[in-house]
Amino acid sequence: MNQSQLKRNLDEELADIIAASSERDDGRLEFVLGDRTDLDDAVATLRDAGITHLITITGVDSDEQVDVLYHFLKYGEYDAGDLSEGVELTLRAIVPDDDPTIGTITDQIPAAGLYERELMDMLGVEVTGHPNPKKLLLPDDYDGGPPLRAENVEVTD
Amino acid sequence: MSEQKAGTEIPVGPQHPSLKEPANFTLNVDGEVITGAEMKLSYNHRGIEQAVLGNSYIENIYLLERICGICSHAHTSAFTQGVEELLDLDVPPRARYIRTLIGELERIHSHMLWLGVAGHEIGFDTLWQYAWRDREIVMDLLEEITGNRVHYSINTIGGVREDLTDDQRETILAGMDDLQERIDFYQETVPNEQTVRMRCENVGVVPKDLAREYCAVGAVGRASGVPTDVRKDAPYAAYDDVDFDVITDDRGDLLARTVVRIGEIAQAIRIIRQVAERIPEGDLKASAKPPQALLAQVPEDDAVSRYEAPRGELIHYIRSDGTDTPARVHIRVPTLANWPTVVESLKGSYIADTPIVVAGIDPCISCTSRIGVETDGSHGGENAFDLDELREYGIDWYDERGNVERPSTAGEGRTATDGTEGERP
Repeated sequence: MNQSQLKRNLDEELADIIAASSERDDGRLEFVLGDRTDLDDAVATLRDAGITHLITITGVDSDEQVDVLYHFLKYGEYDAGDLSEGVELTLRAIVPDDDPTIGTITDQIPAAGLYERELMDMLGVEVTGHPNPKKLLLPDDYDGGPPLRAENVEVTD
Repeated sequence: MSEQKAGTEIPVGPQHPSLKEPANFTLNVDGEVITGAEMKLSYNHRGIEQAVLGNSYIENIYLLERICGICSHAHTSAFTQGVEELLDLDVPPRARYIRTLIGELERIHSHMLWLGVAGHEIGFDTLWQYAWRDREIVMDLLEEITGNRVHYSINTIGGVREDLTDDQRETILAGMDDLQERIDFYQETVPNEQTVRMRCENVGVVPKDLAREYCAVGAVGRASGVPTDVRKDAPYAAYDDVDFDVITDDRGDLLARTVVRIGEIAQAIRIIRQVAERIPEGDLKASAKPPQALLAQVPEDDAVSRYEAPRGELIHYIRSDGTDTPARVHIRVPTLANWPTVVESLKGSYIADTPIVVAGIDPCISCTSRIGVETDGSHGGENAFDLDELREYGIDWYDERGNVERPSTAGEGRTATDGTEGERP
């Protein structure tokens, strides 16, 4: 299945919960969630479609909202040393600055645990339901606020 | 009694002399067997993702190169490829071949470094010295081609900064002949060597389902039968034009990871020979414009750039806002993706196996933490084991016992309990 077919299938299955979808020039698919509370359903649908590899979770602070991007990969087929091309897919959830919370996906994808902790550390987005919401990258006694939120970033040109 | 035993905690680290980098593990033990493990990485945040935002794309190449001294080319390649995608630049074939060449030389040096470290961790210092001696072949080649042993600084946006001369191609081919002999020797001896087998066979097992569940990458995933390799599943540079195999194993233990890494060195030699023989003539850069002129054209967009670093899949996410500085760069390094497998595979291992199980994923804390705060040592407590002491302990422990039975990997702590598959010769 190439990425265009995959996109058509997913567009259909995710129709109720996505606000937009696109296929990028490099073949990466992107889906934007209408409402962040549907994250769990979207991830379940992706898993049913065989997309099980979570690459990472990226948080980006942009005007009054934090974009949370879940980067997935659909594995290529492996045959005696040869591996076919996989499909990259990004699921975008939008979290407003005044209520920075999002649900955990660790119950479906345990690998998300560390990435969600990184998101909490660096962007200050609280991941509700996380089994171990301790600091991961920042020191225990750090209290300077999430370093990658626009108000905490010092840019010197 | 059992209640008391279950509560025994052994802190390991954060001073981590065997890896020269800080990480802390808290091991729950029942006698000699580890029943649970937790890790802490927050000792060395360097704030690179924040620093990136105050520098131009060109400056950032050199900043990001310094995330890691071992896979520096991986970081600059991932970053420049992402920026090239934003700019829609076509990198000329000669430049793509040179990137591939440096990338594979780097893979060999990284895997040889690991092989040496692994030898040292299990008390087999002869292997350590052999591997590091042979690694010098590649280090010398890197120095000759780029002028540097560590930070090659060969990538720039749209191409590479140094050309490859015909003399250098001859030197590379001669170097590969020498290295091939050594790798043939390692492929023959290392997996059959008594010390290596005793300390690595059925140790630190990561079953396939666990590797998939935790989205393991690189040699760790491949040694557990999860064939992922960005060079094949999203080819970049010149990997479309060269033949090589993705090496896998389905046993998932430390011996499998060792075999896979040595196999990957052999494949890297194969790639380097093809590159040195077939490199096309042509330009080194996509555009003759000065970099500042290119950067003035970066549109508002984002790009995901993946790269197969020596330790596995590396991703740089780059968001641009129409200026010459990025709006966000997010880096996920392979070590972070593989940490959960370490924690899982420690469960059910002996305490004595800790150093080699931790070293087994070829961890790079400087990549993972990226973040400089001095540790005050308060996390480990005064009775903390440091990993060097633990390494000595492990070697003595095995010396006293000779061949030991492996503890069962089945246990409550383990989320997946499939044993290893397949027979070893």
